[in-house]
Amino acid sequence: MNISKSQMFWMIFISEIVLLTYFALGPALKQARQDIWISFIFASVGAIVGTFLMIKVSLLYPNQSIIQYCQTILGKFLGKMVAFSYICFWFFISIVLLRAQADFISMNLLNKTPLFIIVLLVIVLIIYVNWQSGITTIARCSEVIGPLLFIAAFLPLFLNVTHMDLNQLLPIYTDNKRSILSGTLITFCFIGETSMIMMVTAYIKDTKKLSASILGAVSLGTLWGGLMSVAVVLIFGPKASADMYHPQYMFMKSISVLNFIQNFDLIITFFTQFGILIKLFYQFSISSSGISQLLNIKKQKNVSWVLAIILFLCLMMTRDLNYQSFLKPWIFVVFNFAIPLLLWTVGKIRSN
Amino acid sequence: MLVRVTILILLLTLMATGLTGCWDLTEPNQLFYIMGSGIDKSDDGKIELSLQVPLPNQQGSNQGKGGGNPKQFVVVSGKGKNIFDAASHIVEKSSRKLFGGHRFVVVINEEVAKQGFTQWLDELIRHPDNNTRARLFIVKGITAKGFLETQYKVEKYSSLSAYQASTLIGYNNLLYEFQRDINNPVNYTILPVIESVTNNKEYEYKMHSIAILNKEHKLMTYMKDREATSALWAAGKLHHTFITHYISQGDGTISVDLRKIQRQVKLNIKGRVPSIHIKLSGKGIYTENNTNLDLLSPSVKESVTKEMSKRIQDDVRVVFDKVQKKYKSDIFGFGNEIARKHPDKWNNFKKNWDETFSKMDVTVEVNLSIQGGGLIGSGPKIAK
Repeated sequence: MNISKSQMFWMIFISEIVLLTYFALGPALKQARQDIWISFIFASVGAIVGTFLMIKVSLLYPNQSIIQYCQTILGKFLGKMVAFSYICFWFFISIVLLRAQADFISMNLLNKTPLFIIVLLVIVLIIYVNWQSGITTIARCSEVIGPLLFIAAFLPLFLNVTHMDLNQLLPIYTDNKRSILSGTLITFCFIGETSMIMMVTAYIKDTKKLSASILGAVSLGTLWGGLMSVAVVLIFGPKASADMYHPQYMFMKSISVLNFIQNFDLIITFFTQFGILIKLFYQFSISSSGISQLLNIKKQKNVSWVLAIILFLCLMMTRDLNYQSFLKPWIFVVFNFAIPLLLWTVGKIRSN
Repeated sequence: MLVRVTILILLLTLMATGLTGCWDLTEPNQLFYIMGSGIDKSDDGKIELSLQVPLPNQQGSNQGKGGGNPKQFVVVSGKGKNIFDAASHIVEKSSRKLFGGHRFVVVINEEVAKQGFTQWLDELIRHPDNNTRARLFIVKGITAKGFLETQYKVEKYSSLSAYQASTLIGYNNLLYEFQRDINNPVNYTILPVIESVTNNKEYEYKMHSIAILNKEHKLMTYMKDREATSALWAAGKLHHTFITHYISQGDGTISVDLRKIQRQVKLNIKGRVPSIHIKLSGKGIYTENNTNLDLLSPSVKESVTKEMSKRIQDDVRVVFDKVQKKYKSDIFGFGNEIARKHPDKWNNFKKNWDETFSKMDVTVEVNLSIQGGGLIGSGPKIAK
């Protein structure tokens, strides 16, 4: 299992874009309104610090994934607890992602198809990818899909410049301080969600300048998120954008270049489906390899099977994805910031 | 080995049938593509929704015996408590599903506009199929259904005709721009008006007026012709325009075609009542000269431009007096400027902005920059 730095870059970038598109922009705009760019700046600082800590702690123990060095740093029992909680966190994210994607396809594209067929097809795909070579396949796919998503994400921003009204960003910072803070928390939840690197860094052979590529991906993704949310506010105004369920989708629908390039949302939907599949694949893959490392199971393929069946059952039991209910920022802050900080400090102390 | 291959082939076939999604297909000939929507008032508090839908091409040429082309569209209408209710009644009479993703215009009758119509725009924004680039108009002198049903000269579809005409008059209002405007701190809005006139038993429409909506987005008043142009220019919403004025230097009229129009606002908020200095600028060319002046000579051009600017300034001045004293509604967006650039001072002005606006001191300065006069200087001489 061998992953290169550029594959890592694209995987993180895809994860940023997909999470921002599907989850973050709507609630963040609702809180922060026209000061969304301030929230993005603060959240990006938090995300970069958190990711940096994760990279540092993984490089303290190269060739070991978090399941293994967690037990080394915190002791057997506490380490196993923390590792297991991470596995549950990753699995939870895969459930949410799969549900979001299946909902989107089911509501907008395939109305009459029962949900479990869509979910089943995606799960079959997940099992196939995990059987082949796990994370290596996913990394190679992301090297192809990443640049496509890059173009699909950044191009529409420039196509709609003629309709933007710069005055909609003012007045700056007059509303509640609290709304900028809650916008920051919500944004940080999603752009800081890079906990997979603690698991995957073990497979990277050449770790020179690893932090440059990973932090580069985080900052590029955040830059896109900031630009897109500002663009939405410039086109629709702060009050109307706070009301939207999927601001990027509405932004794409309003593009009209030369009265010819219109209805751009179809193209973007196509590319973001690829992106969300990649994120789903590797979340599942790290969950299953995490469990196999935790319980010392040799054949990871059996774990994948069992985990896929559990995923399917969990998904069929959820009624509806109303992500406001699970959007508790403290979960993300703990897993993406607090625990890496803890691990890094204890690891540093131990190694000195 | 054989068992594995069989199972694999079976699995792949099952997946292939699932991946095509054939049962979820909607063919283009199962959809009504809505080109224009019209909202009218109906009896007992309901609204009537009319939809203009194009017909597919007839097979072979279908010239009727009495001459004249058959209509290539059909208007379906239904009444209901709201837009979706009316649309569901339309579906009862139609053979296809309605699809609003290619809508050109949304036409609103003035009766509906007088009672407030912004709640009917909800469905047009909410449904994921709809496009918010449709243009809004208020129609006067005819019902919205009548406007959609009439076949005007030249264009096949009246909604397309209105859509293209709105590009020519220099001001149009897209649905999402309207949504942005009604959420501003001071939310008086302007909409273009289609006025229907009968000319020797033929229907014609004219787009020469604008409608001003008050704070509750109800139709307040109209403004025509030159007043409308000046008001739009002062509000910063005009793209291009044609202006003709009598120039006293040459004792005749001169016309100008302004292609690039801008407005700059300078606020002065010291004191209890703010004052504003507006700079309107335009770049264009002279298109007609009914005087003996030689428009190719720079000095003449400069003096004529100065006089033209002065006349436009007087027009805008008249509009300001009227809007301030008579209507007391800030359609020019001055309150928005204050709310955005000086939010702390806006809190003082917010409560009775209408009164403050009517007392505001507004100075106008018009600067035209005319780049050329076509191919000739003074044209056929007029004998005096």
